[in-house]
Amino acid sequence: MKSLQVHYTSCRRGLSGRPGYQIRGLTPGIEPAEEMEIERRCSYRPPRSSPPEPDPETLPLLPRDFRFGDLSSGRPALTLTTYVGRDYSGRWGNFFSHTLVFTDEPTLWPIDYYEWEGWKSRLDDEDAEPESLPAIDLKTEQAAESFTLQELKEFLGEEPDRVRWLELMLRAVFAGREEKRPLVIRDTPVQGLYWLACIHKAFPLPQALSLSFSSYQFEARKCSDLNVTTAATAFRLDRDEREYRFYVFDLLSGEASEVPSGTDDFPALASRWMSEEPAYLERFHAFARSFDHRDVDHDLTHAARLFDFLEGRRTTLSETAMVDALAFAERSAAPDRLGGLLESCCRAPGADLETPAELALVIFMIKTAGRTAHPEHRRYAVAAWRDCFERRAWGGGDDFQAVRLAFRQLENRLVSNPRKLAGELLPISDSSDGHLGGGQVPEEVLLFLLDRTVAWLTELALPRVGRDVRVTRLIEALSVRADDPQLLGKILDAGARNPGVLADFCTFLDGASPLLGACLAERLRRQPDDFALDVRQRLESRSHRQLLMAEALAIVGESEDPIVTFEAYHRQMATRMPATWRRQVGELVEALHRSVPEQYFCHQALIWLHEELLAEVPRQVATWLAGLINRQISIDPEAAASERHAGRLRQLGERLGIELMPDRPALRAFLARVRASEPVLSSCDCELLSHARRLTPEEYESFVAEVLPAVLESISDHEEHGQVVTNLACSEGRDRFQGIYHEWLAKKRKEPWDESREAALGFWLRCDPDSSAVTHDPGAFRRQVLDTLAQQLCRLKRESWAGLVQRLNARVASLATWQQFRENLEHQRKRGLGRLFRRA
Amino acid sequence: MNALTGHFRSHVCPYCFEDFLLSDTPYRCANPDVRRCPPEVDALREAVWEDDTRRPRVVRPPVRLFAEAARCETCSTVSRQRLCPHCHMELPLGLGRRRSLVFAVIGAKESGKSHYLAVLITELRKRLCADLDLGLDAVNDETRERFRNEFYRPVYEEGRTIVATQTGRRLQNSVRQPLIYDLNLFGSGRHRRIRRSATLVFFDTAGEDLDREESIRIANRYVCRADGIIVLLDPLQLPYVRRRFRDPRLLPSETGETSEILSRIVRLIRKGRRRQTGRVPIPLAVAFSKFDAVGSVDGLVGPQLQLHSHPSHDGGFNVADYEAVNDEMQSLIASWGSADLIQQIKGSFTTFGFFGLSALGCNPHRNKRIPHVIPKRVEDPFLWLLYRHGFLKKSKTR
Repeated sequence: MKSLQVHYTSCRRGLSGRPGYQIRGLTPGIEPAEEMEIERRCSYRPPRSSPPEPDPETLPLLPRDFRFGDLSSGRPALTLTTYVGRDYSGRWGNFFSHTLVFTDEPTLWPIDYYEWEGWKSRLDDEDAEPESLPAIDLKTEQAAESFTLQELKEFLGEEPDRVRWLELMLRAVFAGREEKRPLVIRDTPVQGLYWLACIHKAFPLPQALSLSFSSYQFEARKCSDLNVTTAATAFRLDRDEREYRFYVFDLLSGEASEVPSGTDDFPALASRWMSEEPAYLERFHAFARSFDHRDVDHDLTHAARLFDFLEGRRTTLSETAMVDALAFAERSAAPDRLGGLLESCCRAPGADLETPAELALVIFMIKTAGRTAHPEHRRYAVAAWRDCFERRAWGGGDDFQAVRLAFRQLENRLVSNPRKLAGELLPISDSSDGHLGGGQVPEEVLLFLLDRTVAWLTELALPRVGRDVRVTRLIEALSVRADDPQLLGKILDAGARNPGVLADFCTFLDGASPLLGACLAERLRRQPDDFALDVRQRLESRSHRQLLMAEALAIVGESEDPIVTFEAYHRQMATRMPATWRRQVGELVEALHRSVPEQYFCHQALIWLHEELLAEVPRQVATWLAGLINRQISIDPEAAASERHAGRLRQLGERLGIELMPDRPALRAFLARVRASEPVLSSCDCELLSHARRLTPEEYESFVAEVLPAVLESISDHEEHGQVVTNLACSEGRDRFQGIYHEWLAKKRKEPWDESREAALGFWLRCDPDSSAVTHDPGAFRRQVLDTLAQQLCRLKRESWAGLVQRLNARVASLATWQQFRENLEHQRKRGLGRLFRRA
Repeated sequence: MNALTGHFRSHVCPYCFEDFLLSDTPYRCANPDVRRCPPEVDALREAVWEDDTRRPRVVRPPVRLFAEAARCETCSTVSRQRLCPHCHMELPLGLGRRRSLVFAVIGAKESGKSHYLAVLITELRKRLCADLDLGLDAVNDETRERFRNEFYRPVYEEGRTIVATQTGRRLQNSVRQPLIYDLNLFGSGRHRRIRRSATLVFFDTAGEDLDREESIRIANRYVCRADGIIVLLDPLQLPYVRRRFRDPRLLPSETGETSEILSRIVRLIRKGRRRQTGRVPIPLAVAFSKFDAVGSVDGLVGPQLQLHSHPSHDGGFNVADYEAVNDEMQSLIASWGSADLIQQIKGSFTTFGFFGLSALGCNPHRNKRIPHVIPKRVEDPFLWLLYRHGFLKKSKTR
């Protein structure tokens, strides 16, 4: 480490070529800007109380200004200014400044160079020609004996208040950095030097180098960070300076600025260590070299606490303190010191730590191991996590969440070799057997371990992971509460990273809970289709049909949109597992029906009808669905929407032999024929008409109103007439039927009598009133009908209705009804003549 | 100059020598209660002067015209303490009402600048103010204390020479702070009204500050903005004079820069004024100091010369005496083999005068003790500058 020198004084011969204050000599390599800056630093005014012309004995007693600080170029400079009294001309006021400009960072605390033997305090020969100064090698320079930590301890011990003063001064340094208030200590020159040494050496070297200081500051302006002054200088140290400008410690008068309070911080720790255990402070300084941290800030408190903890002096740290300390370490640790820090952490007593603090420590170790990527460090980190896990897992599981968090870090940071990590951690599963017996291990721990064990076994590519004893042992321990769907789900989650494992889990758990299917459905729903199919195929091959059915039902039943879910399931299964699908579809459709409002389901059934899904489903289901669809079809031929459905339903019915009741497509077609004036009635049609009785009352009424008159009008055979009447009539729509029928009968026609009425007369004369559904009082209706017919017959010429009567007589003469009809007919006829005569 | 007209002309800051208008000057809060209005570091002052002292807050210039005070936004205290808008130094309170005269005292190392200032100001206050009906008061405590501690006490109380002036390159050094005085010329009437007034700014610089270009730029900017320059030349540096001295122990060390110092001053002013040619219009008083020592050597200064007399400046500047001394000094210089010096000055300055003076009246070179202070003609250059600026009238006495 080379140091460049500058000599500055008032001399006759210097670098300026003229007498006066100037640089007398310097080492080549100092920049012109540095020269000017050094010149500005070189100033000295003796205390006002000193004699104006001090004698040679007094001169050495005047304070020397030992000044340290960085130049603008970034190079540290150390200046020792000594008052020499007279200059070359004999005038008073001269001083000699010897400056060392460090080309590298000093290896000692700057105060340690105070006793360097090479310091010049005056010109050796005034008349000598100035010459360039040599560079100095300070590499082998030893620390000043006066300012060893042991000496400083003794200094602090000389007076009882000094440790407290030091703590306050250190705290003032921190506060002063934030508030831009330099520290000013007024004491004797010698003690001032010791105070400077105490403050500077309390800090690790990098931080100390960021603190400028002056051992004798005369001006109250442009102060260093740490200033020592004496009496009779430009400092007033009045209230203004004490409260606003500086942090003042006037040890001559005992007055001091108010300093922020604090406990267990760096000032408290460092002052205590310095006053009690200098060697410990020295170890802290060595420890602080682990960090790339040069600022004088509260991170030093974190470093000090961490050091104290790692040294085993304090068995515990609060969560905040530990987190802050480790955050600092993580932020600032020098890359080449990380290993050492990690080793220190390994030796740290973690047992007494609160969980968050221990967690922070473990995470720090993991992160550090990740950064160094050193196998040994990795081993430390894994071991730390294992310790943490085993303490929490087998000890009751308190704060186990923290262990999980730490594990996540472990996975993320040491991701470079997951196989190796799995191999390192799998022994945890091996050793778990001894802890599972008592049922004391919390569910959270078991689930975590199950999940991890599966992952580790998978990572290690071991066969039959799902049936591995380490896994099944954990499942067994968990399955005691198989009625808990959440727990079941979590178990399945552990196996959900592999279809084979999940299928194995299901096999293992099948029968343990009726909720397994639903839980499986829940897991498979989150997986890709191929994964789900793989699991189902494995289960199918092991004949877990009930489970598969339960899963399928759960899929449909618990879906927010069962229809869409069903469709998706259908698409998946129908092609890949058709046998299973066929087995399931009936129940699924019913389940769908249960979970979907009727109108939606019927709509869906119509879609299935057109997609020909109904051809795939069992006949029973198809029949049921056809019935549902049938209900949707309107019998009105004008309703075009139903036309397509009716045709497709009719085809389906024919294909599957499904009998529709009522056969709406046929009724609709029949009605269309009626409207088209094609009432060609076949035997099938007669039977079809009976379906009308299953229509809704409104449909029935409109159907009868349209069909009955048209059909009856075309019938000339009393038997056919009877079939139509008996098939169409129903008890629910009786009144309306009678009304329509009677209207038809009484309707005026061009012909006073025709075959259709003859067929009606034939039917009503022969019908068995008791077996007719036409009327609940058949006798009364029949009488009414026959009366009507009789009245119409009476309007015919005698020879016309006489022939008819004769024909009818031949057929129904044996009937009592006929006798009554004849009498009635006669009565009608006579009653008419009598009215005529009475009127005449 | 009254208060109103002061608002219409620019002024020069006696610290940074930048021009400014009164309407642009901020103020320094005058509230003494630091709890109500806590002091703070003045960023501009820190940047310009490296002065990070916490001071009362800076109050922005008021908007209204011709304002003489401003109210602090924090504590509402009214302040009248103006600050230079360029460097935030406290301006003399009379600025704007008074004329400002900056006199630079410059010279080579050991030419006696500090002693000259010490004696001049003391003589002005003790003797000349009464003769000329002048009043001289320090404008601030800093001037008063600095003059007392660094100038008056060593010379007049302790009888020793003033310590060597430290270079002004260290910005925060008090060397950079001028000595500022209010100079009032009273009327002769019953009420002794002030007829004229001026702010006098004296700079005492280290001789080394004229050495290097960069030092000149930092420390001596004031020279080119000065209203008058008193350049002190040490006759004991002239080779002819040195040869006539029998005891060389009484001589200061030889620097050989008497003419060079003038060249440097001219270069400095031309650079500062950005005029490389033409004569400098600043009045230059070329004063040969330590004249008592020269006078003690036989044959160097004739006994019949006006230089040996004690001039009377009653009621004004004694022009007749000045002219006689001016001529005598030029003759003496020529006879000492330094006529080139006169030619150099004539070629460089439009207005100049030659003076011979002795601040201490004794030679302290050997033991640095001042047994007594018997100044001789120490006021001549200063009064001549006041006269040139019209502050003093011509004296009627001869």
